[in-house]
Amino acid sequence: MGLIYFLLQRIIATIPLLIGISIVSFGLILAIPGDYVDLWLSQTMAQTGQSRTELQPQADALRAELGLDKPVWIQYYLWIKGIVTSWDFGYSFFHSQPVTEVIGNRLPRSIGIAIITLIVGQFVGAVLGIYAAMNQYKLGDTLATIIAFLGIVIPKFVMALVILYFLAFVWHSPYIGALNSPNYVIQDYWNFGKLWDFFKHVWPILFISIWAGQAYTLRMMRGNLLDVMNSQYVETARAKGLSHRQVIFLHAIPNALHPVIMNMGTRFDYMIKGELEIAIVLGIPTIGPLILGSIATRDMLVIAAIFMIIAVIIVIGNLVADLLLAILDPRVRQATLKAKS
Amino acid sequence: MKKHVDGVTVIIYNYMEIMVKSLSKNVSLAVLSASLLAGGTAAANSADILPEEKSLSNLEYEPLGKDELQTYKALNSYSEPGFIAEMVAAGLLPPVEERLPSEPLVFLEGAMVDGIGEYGGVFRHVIGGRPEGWNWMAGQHQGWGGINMAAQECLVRVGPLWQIKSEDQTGPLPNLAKSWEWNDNRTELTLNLVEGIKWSDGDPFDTEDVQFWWEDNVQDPDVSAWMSMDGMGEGTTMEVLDSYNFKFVFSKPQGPARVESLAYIQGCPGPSHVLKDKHPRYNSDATYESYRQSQPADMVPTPVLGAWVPVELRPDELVIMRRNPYYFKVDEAGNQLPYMNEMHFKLSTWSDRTTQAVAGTGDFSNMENPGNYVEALKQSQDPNSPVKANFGVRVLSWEVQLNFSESVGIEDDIDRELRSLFRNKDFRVALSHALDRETIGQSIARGPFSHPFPGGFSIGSPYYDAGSTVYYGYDPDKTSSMLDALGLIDTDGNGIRNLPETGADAEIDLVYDTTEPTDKKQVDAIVAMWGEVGINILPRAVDEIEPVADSGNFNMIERRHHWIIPTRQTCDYVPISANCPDWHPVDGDGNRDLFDWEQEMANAVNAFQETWEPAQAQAAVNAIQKNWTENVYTIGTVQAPAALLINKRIKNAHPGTPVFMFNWAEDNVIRERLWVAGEDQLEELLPGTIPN
Repeated sequence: MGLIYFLLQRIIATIPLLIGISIVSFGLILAIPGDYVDLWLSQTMAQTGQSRTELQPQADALRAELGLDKPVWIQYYLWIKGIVTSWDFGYSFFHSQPVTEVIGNRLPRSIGIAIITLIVGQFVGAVLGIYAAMNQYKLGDTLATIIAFLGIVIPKFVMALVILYFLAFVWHSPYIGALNSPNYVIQDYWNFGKLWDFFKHVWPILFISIWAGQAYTLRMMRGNLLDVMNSQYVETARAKGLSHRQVIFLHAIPNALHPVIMNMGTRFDYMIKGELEIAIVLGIPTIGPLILGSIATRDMLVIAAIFMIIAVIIVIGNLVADLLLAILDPRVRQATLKAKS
Repeated sequence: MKKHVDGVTVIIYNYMEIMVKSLSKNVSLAVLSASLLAGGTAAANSADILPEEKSLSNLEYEPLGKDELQTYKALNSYSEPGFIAEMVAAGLLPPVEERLPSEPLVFLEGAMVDGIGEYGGVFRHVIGGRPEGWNWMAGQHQGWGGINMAAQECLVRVGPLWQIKSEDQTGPLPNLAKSWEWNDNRTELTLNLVEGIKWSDGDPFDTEDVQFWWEDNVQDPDVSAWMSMDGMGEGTTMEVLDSYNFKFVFSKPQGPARVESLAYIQGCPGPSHVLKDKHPRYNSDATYESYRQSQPADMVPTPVLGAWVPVELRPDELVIMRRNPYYFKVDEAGNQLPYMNEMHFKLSTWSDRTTQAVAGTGDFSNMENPGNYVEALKQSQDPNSPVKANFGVRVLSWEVQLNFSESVGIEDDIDRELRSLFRNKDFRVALSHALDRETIGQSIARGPFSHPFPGGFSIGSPYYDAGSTVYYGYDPDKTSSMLDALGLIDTDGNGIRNLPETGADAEIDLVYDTTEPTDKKQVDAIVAMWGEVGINILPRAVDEIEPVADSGNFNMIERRHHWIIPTRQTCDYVPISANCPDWHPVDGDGNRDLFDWEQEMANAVNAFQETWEPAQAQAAVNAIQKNWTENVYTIGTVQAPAALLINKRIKNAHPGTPVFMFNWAEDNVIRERLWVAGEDQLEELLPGTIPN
């Protein structure tokens, strides 16, 4: 019961957070001079050769149609009302689609990529960390450390730019700027061919994210394991006559994993952000370019909705990490239950 | 027709020449104070004469007469792609002779750089827009970047006019309207449609469609059509004469430029046989909003007159268009156009368009960022590169606009004094003399790409006249003496001149678009150069320049100069209306103190639009150019060509095609004539299919 109470409390606590995020999102968009119609005007002037005077009546009509002529608080109220009463996040001005559809197209891709990088990145980081710790000051440790540090110090967008340069300008790769080749875009079902084609397009995101993501885990796992292996209970286990393998895998690693798992909640946030950054550079249609494009086009309902959804995902990520830790470590579980009882 | 089209070698040579010259003098472009050594001395020694332009593209071709490009005539026989012929044989389509007008529009072989083409293949666009819907008559766009133009056909056409010789520049090219006549006093314009054109679903195109476009869209105040209600002149009415002939009746005599209003994007009718039933005037259940949204983006296929028909939409990813089996244009051999069966529009970002063109996953991009030119040239030279860069004429130009208003956007006495200075011609001339345009040009792109821009019409404009252009070239000593004479003296010894009345430092805010790297580089150079003569520029970076410009709340703006053709975006550059241009609007009380020469420019615009004599039209443009450049209406910086990136497998793309002139390159290049040799053709995604 205590765990459920703990869960409910965490969920209820997110409501004011989400309201705050929605207000801040709206405020941020409105703080920038101009609105979507201003952008529409400049783009249409350039495209059609018509002057602002000629287009102004159409711009006024568009502003009225989109509700941008209403006071800000009414725009905000209508938006929140739509979400609460009918799960309607509004209409994307730029995409001419409901916001839920626009985000619904892209969010699963971002989450999927983030989950893959999270799992693979943490696994690779943990394994390399264990290897480095078990081979302290040997060549393997040094190599693992160099790889880790490069992953930490090279900005992800720089890696993405370098890869983009080679893909586009040197190799003239056909697998850029999309999630799938056109022949698979129009294929409604997934099969191995489409999945393989998907990975041919998104491997730079996975590669960079996993590289950057495993680095912290590697360093953390290495340090933790070295600490744990110097603990008294490890000495005791050895004294009992357990094999080196048993000591490492049954006693040392489970204890050294605690901080790594605790860190996973924040890593998920990192993976989402990392994916956004890389996808923007590479032009891969996930949430990242959508955020940037929506800010550029003042497509404010999309931005506000994305901010809210990402906040929810990060909150859930942290919640899951807390729960995992509680399940893994009886001391954390008991402490949590005790605190709530 | 075409004498020589390989300009890349010349560009590389010129580029190397400048690089060597620069390096030999050990000049760093970052060090602006050394700019005089690096170049620009020609300008300094020949003040008031614009240096002669070095041709970048080295293109030499003889402009065509309109009748050398296209005509309307019946041919002995017509051809079509094999799969279409099979459909005809299967009874799924009428024979090609019945699908075509009795006298189709015929593109003449002599005007095709690679000649008659082969059927098949795919043309791949990458665009940053997203289709709003297919009801373009109600003001919806389809995502720009060529998709609007692929679906729509308009009464007349202007894009290909760039290759028409000057004596034939008497109006647009015919398109859906094959001809037109004026009455004697120019108050009636009768247009004659091509007889027998059909929509992509086989329905006839006739004056019913034109009447619906005009009466129920353009003239309906509740429909936001691309053409405004007065778009053909105030009080203009339309009379339908019969199924293929109609006329506009004007309230006062018109000039020939009036017909251009019927070109893309204003004069493009939609399918009345589909839309009429969805319009509130004919359907009591419909609303104007439901009418506007009646052809949503995912409602495909939708009937069009264009060469390709949208048949598949994958939101946020891809639009596929297939050839229109009823398209009304053919080549001289009788092949029904287009040559290519399929057209893709990958829905991405505008910056991705160039990346994908270079990578070879896109076929076409308008490159307007000079910072990328060197890389584009390298790619063109690489035999393994899939793309070539065609540098056209110089139509990209930039300028600094000084706010002339004596009331709008003024916050204090310093602003007031600055505006007074801006209105003084000597001040503007002095600032022009302080710009080393050679160095500014090198800062945006190393090599021979840029050329000084004195304002007015760019060199690439068909209306540019060197004899009417006054240029105040680099001469900082002259600047100093002129500023001294204006009373701008550094009285407090801080390196910044002081304003004569308020005594404040001469500090001027300069707004620019931070998202445009070319503007940022120029502003950096301008700040340094004007700083050298004691004028302190305060750069004010904004993400969106239009709202700032529209508000009038600025002293200076640096931005792209888009005015190339006197009839396009005119109000943004000449004071022909109360709220334009941005740098000299009417204030809230309706006041504006126009200079005499500004009024002369506005009058010249009217004269251009009203005259029927090409010589008078050119004289009017020359008057604008003279007034603009002599009085430094804006302070021009540099002008450069744009580059059309196009995949090497594409044939019939004229190397001189400008990225932008009368229209954008997608129209200028005449895509229905583009073709790809069989062995280079890409696999079609929807082979053997037609709309409907």
